[in-house]
Amino acid sequence: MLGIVCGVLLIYARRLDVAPPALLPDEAAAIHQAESIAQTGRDLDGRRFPLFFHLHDNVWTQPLPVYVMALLRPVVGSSEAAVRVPSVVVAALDVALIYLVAARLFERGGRALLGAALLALAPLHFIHGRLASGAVYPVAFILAWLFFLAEFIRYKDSWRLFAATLSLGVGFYAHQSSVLTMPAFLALTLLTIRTLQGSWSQYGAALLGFAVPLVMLVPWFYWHYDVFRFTLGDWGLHTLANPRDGLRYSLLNWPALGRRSTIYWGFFSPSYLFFTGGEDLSGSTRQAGIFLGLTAIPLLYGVYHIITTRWSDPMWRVILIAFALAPVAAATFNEPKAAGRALGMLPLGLLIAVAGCDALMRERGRMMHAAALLVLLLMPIQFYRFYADYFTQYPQRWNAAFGQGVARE
Amino acid sequence: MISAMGRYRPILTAVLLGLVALVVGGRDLDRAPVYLYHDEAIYALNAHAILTTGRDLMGLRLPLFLHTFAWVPPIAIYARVLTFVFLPVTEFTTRFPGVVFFAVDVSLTYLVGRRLFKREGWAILAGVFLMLTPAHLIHARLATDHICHMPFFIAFVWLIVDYIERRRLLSLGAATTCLGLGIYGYNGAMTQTPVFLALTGALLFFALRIRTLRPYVAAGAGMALAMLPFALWLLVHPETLTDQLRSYDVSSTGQAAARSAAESLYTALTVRLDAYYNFFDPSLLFFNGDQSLLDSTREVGVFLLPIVVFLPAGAYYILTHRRTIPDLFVLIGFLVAPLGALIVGEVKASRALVMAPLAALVCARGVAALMSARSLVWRGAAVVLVAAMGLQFQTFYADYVGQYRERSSQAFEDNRDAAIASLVARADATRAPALYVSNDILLVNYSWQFYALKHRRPDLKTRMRYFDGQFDFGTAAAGSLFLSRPDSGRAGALDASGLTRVATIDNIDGHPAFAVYEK
Repeated sequence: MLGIVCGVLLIYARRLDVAPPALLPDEAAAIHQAESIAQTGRDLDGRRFPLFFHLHDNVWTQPLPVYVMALLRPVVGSSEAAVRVPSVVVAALDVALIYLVAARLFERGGRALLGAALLALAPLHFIHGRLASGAVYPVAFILAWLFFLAEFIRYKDSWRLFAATLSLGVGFYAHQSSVLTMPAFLALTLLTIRTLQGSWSQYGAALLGFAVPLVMLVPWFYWHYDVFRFTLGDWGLHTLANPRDGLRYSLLNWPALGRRSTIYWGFFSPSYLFFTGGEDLSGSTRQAGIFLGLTAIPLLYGVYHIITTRWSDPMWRVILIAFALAPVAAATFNEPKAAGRALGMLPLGLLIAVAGCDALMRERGRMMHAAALLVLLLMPIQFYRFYADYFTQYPQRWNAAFGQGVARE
Repeated sequence: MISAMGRYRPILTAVLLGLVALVVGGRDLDRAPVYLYHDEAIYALNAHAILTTGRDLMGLRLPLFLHTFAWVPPIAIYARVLTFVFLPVTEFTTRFPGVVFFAVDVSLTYLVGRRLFKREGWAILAGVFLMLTPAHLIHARLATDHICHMPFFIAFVWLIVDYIERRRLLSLGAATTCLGLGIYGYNGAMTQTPVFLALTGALLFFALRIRTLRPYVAAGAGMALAMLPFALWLLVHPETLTDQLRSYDVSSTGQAAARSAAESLYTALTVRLDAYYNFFDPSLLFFNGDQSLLDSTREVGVFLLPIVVFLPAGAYYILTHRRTIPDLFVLIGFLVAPLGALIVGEVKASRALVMAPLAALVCARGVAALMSARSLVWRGAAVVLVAAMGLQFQTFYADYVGQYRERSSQAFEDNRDAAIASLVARADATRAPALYVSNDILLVNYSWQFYALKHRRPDLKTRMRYFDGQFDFGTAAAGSLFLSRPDSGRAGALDASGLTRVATIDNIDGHPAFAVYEK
């Protein structure tokens, strides 16, 4: 596993000063906040160790990426390239974690390695693993949740369940999208307990694990009630922020439902997943999907395989439903194909792809074996093409789109 | 006696369902859609021309394909010829044949369901689901050809299921004949047909594992039989095919900016892939339907909302519990139905309307699956959702014959009928020497000719003259009448020339649509 982590660090940390060629405004704001915390213990507005950071206007951001940056700042330095190193470290951690999860699910080292390789080579993970935006952070928590949930399903220990939902609770502070994603995954956990006919104490452990990290929200919103509505609104929880109008305009509104369903549907479009990625050039090269194109074959087969064969396995059911739920939070933001908000799809989709590969390899037909092998052999080539473009043409496209310096206002 | 009743019961049920569909689909046909669109008028005019002269508007004698803006397949127009033999030309009679196709679709879907489910209840439910499909109803009530291939397609599915069960070559040949005949119903069937022919081939080879030649020959012969008239037509009119490709801009790849052949192919493929995917967009299917107000009320999807539950439930049930070849054929057919439409890379429900009967069958299977669940919750949910479909359909229908008429009045090219009526009434009263119509009113000539037919005023046919922006109003005889848009440059010129506005014609939504001026 150490080898995997080192390999990912090497690939991901290469030429951080070249691509992406400039800091994004959100990255820059988070870095300034991290510097301020590291130096004074206060944010730029003077709040002492705040729970949320004010970026600009009504936009508040989750604390975890800022605090991680502040913590690592003395080690990695403060150059433009160095401030992105914490994300690289988290990305490497993601790859190690998916290895553990896949090892637990398949109980075969080869499949675990495949899972790790697929995540390491996923263009979206690579791109966001090199941005100081924090989008890559939730992946680690989702993987930790899956790991402990798989452990719980096997051993039925309440403490493992507690650890699983504790991961979700802490992950709540990882990214804006986590605010909806993590509770949705908690609901999935509770459904799993129900499927396993778990005891009340297990329900209690799950809820407690999730609630413990969220306790901090109470004093924060008590002392900063003024930001309550803005924060909720920015998280996409418009309905909670303003129940009367929110219900009417965000939830019980036919055109809004249609619009949001289209945005949600867009997150599963083949071009987004396998060919062009997100619409924003800051989170996509527009030359590769969020997954490598060839992942389509095992991913589709994996979905089919889980529905038809593994649906009775609660863990695979959770993974498939979680994959479907992962972009729901991103859909509430009203921005189509905002890849940075749906990174949770990556590990879930890739575990499904590994299941697809596994199923293809187990099929009797030689064609299936050959297809699986061909896909696996061609994937590194496809990644190399993406990787080469990322360091050569992509910075040029970036500069053409955003100009030099800080990319966007 | 009982046996005879049993034998005829399916036919009786199919007829009854068809009659109910006729009532549901034909109610308020003269009121909604609000006005007659120019395509509809052109179909009616061609039909009337064929009926009275044996030639279409282009002068072709009993043509197989008729040239309007594109080459139009014959069934939609000849169905109207048949209607006009018995009934006068009106908006109602122009649109009525579509409702008949609608009813036939419902009956045939019931018959396919009977074969598929072996249960009368689920088969009726499948027919009812198709009847309650908003897009099916909306397109049936437009006097165009969008729905005319559907009966052939559903018959194809029926015969394929029959072949799977009985292995009668006649059924297979008849199935592909029906599939091929669809091209005489709707242009979109030209690209759908190869997809479903390929699916039939795959069914024979992979699912039924047939390695003898005869079934393939039967399927090919059936298709060839259906294609024979078209092939003969092409010998005489080879331009039909090239014109068709040009009019649908088949070479276009959307945003594709070709730099190399490979890149262009790659872009074209991704554009098509996205288009295919977007045929299943929940907003299109369940919330807003097509973009155009001609094809959708924008208040309801192609399907009613509860289908969002029944469709996946049915698909899941077929994949996991009922992997029979006929069920899988229907499910795969639903998934491949939009493929043919991808040739133009544009997402329009009308181009993949054959999804509707297949979805109805999958959904009926979904309801059956939910009703067979042990949990009372699932069974209760199925009942509630079926009831909710009735309620949502009622809401949709109330909107369709109510507010939608107002919302869509401009999309249906405004109140031309009233405008022409106003002009003609005044001309009759004042013995106006000339009637001028602004040439910026799109394709108004067809609306004029339709009006003349509808009101049996052959004298009007040649009375209309166009005026344009350069027209010298001084040359028009005193008492001449002019029809224009009330807020256009033409109206300004009419005002400036000292002509008197004698009438303003509003749309149903109160928006002024036309103005009549008198010199």
